Amino acid sequence: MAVFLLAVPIAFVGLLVALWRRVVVTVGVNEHGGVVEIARHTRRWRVIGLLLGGAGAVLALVLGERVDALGRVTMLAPTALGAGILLGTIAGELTARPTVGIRRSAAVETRTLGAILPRGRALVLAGSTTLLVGALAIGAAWGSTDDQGRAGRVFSRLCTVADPDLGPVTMGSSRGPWPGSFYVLPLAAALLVLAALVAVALRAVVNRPRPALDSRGLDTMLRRWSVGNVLTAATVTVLGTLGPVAILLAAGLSDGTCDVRLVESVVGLTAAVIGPFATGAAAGLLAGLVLSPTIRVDDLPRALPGDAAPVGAPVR
Amino acid sequence: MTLSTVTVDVLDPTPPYEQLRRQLADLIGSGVLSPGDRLPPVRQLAADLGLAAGTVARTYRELELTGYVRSRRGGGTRVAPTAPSPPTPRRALEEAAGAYLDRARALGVTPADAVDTVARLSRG
Repeated sequence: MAVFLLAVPIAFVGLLVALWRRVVVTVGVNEHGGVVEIARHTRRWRVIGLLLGGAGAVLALVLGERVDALGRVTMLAPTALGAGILLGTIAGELTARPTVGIRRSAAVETRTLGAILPRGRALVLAGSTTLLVGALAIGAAWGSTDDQGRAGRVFSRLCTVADPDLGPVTMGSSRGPWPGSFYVLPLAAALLVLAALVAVALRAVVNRPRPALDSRGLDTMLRRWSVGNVLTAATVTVLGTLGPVAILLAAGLSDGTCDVRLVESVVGLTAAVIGPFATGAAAGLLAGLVLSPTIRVDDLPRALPGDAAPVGAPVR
Repeated sequence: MTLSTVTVDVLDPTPPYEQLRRQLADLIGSGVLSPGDRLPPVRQLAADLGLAAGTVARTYRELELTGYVRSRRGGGTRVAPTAPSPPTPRRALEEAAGAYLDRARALGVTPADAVDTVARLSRG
């Protein structure tokens, strides 16, 4: 619980950063109507997905224990949230259709993901995924069978302790729940589904039809934002999963009857640092997703150069 | 880099696939699109123009038959390394005249009246 409390200030900082860095592009009331309409449409669907994913995550957290008391449903809450956002994004991008007239123009260009991929966010996702895969691999490799015969659910150690009366005594210690194969296998399956959704969402963003050619720059920017949102949703899921996994790793490797090896204590300490940070970062990124870049339409048409201004000077 | 564009007029009597074919052939013939340049995927161009994918696919097929482009499964459609020799002025004129007569027919004007119109305009 304490580590989750530590995550709250990090999430708050994330929210402040998202507010501070929020991008709002203002366009005139008669400008780029097609892109503005697509931006509203995709945003509407993304919010619907976020709400559905949020509801799914809350259900997994609240009712998951009733379905599976050992937490295999509860642990899928971040995946449910991410899947909801991605499904909303996919629905929005696939149903966004710019209005076409009698004369229709298109650029002779091959749109690629590489041209609109925000490198920073892609690197953050890659780094987070590497950490999660590493944590799950360590968990699966070091997990043991618990007293009920469930493989990969506890972390066990055997050691010899010198007893003043009995002499050397072999003792065992088991700590769980441990993120071993018992949890890793369903989690890996869920994350693979999420990876497929990410791929579909990215493809949908790249293939979405372009609106009018004179809005090409703004449309490219909107696509870059959408790709960024997809990557952020995936990162929220990965970090939201990594946080609890790291915390369980750290708890399993903290003091028990038997001393842990050096490598285990290093992993335990690292996991203790990563756990709250990942949880907080996931919450912060989620806030950033809610406050994603947006296009604002100026209500009044812009003054034309040369129009008389109230003070008598021409507007430049 | 200059942005190459194609435009389709759905009210034009020339079928959309033919409008597209002519414009892409011009872009390739004039060197705006260089050998090896990749053309947009069929679905992308069709979606951008609000046309059926089959229409754009037919355009690409026609261009491939005339040697302007090469299609490879998984590699998309690219401008051919050697573009076909450009049409002679007479051939280009015949194509333009054919398009003019198509347009006249769509407007309910007989070919004879269309020729008269050209003759009158040519006299100034």
